Amino acid sequence: MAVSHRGAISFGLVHIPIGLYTATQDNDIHFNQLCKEDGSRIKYKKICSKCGKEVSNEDIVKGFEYEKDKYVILTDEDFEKAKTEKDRTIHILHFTDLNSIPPIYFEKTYHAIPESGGDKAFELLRRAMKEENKIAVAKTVMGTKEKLLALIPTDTGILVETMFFADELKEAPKEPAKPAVSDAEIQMAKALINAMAQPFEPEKYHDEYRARLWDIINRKIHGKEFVIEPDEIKVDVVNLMDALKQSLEQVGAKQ
Amino acid sequence: MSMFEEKNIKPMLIGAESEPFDSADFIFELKLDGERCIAYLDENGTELRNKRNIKMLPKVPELKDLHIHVNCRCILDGELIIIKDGKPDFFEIQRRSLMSNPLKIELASRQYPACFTAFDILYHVDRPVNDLPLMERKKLLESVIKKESPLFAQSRYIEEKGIAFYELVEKQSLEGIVAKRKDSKYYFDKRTKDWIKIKYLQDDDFVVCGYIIKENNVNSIVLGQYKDGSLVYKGHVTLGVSSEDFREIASQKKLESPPFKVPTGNENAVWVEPVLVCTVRYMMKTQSGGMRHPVFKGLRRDKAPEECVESADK
Repeated sequence: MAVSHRGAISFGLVHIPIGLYTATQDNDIHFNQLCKEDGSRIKYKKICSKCGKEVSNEDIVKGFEYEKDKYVILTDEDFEKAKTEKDRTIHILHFTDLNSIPPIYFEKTYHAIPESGGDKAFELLRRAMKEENKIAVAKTVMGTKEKLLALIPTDTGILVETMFFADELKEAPKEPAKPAVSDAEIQMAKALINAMAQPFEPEKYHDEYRARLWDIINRKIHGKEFVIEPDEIKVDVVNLMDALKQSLEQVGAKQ
Repeated sequence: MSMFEEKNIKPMLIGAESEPFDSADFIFELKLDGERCIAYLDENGTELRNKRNIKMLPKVPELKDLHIHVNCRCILDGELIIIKDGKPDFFEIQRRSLMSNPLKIELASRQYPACFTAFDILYHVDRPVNDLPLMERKKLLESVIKKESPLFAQSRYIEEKGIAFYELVEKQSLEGIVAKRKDSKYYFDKRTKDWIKIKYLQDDDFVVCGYIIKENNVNSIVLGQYKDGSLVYKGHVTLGVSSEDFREIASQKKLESPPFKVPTGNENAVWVEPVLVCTVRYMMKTQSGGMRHPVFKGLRRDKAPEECVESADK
């Protein structure tokens, strides 16, 4: 698994070198667009909407539409000027309780893995946070973007959650009305909830649409394989090694 | 905690290279072109770690039951390989280790299943056995293996006749062979001169200095190496544009001009800061010092550009 980001947690006077590895993944089934007639891949061409000519990447610039059909052009230099200075340090700003952060702030989860020389300080930080029931709020720069982070200790390591900034949250478009409910009604609803309460076991749930789609794909591939390579000879490593050994013994016998 | 529970073994590495030789003090094994792996096997299951201790089972789920091939708790050292066209195929195992979509992995594991080939035993039942001489470890390895299968094999070895063995390997364009001293012990996390590689296919590391965009989604990477403290031009190797490695190369800071004198054929090159290192595999050097059939093996992150030095024999 490739490291997504390398940095160092700055905690007091120590620097803990770490790598961040994505903790979730997209398991969607992706498709390619093909030409119906001969099955070849469909390609995109970039065409000027006015003259219809194909334009190459070096002839394309970036524009911001500030008014209908009116653009300001931004050059590479403009982007360079706005760039955040690279800062791979994960600055711990303060510690807090996990449940003081509403889940809406959490964006994407990474596993933090200590790199060489960081094992001891990493474990120290993990255990101390875990035993104090605290998580760390931190800031860093990932790619070109400034990121707010939460460092959450677990039994085995530290999870790094990227978080939204407060101004990235959207308010609900409308407040739900809160009509009065009677005590009896609320008691009944609570009883129903408690009757249905169970521990959360995520492995019980699956994307069944994906499973069915995968099953269909598999059956099609299988049918095909049979047609294309009916007499492929399977050579495994044991065959290979034994064949070499045997031919060597034959050479030895001849001499 | 025992070595078995700790699961933090750093394997012994080959520390010498030589020409083919014959010796009664050595055994010779096929050098399998795959990913070095340590297998922790007991009645509860299988755990596979590569030499950087990364968990490998998510990439090769078909090997989750390797432990049924052995008759006791043990730690085995070996090579994780994928056989394609009758030979271990490094690129196939590399491709697999870069996959993350479980459905794609499932498909690949049926089309080209991986195989763990054990060549050493480091732990037996309840104690480390790395202090035993190699030939005793080989005997012990043989005794713990119940059976082989397409997913699990035991490495074969040849006594004494290194030269004849190498010639056979060369004829089949296999990677090479490894000579191992019969009375040698196993030292964790060490490069040992008791293990000697004799390679037909060569690897060398280069600094990525630029790239040339070509037709059909293949690009040339412009290579360099350090000589007397400055970079010198080392030719090209091709690489697909869609690869992760190429994206990383293309995202490097661009330079106005090449870091060295370049021959013709590099007019369209895009020059990048020489900060990335890649490994290139080739069959042998041509007379002029170029590489025959160079293939891009991948970026390597554990080596600094300054360490890619032109070797003396070229």
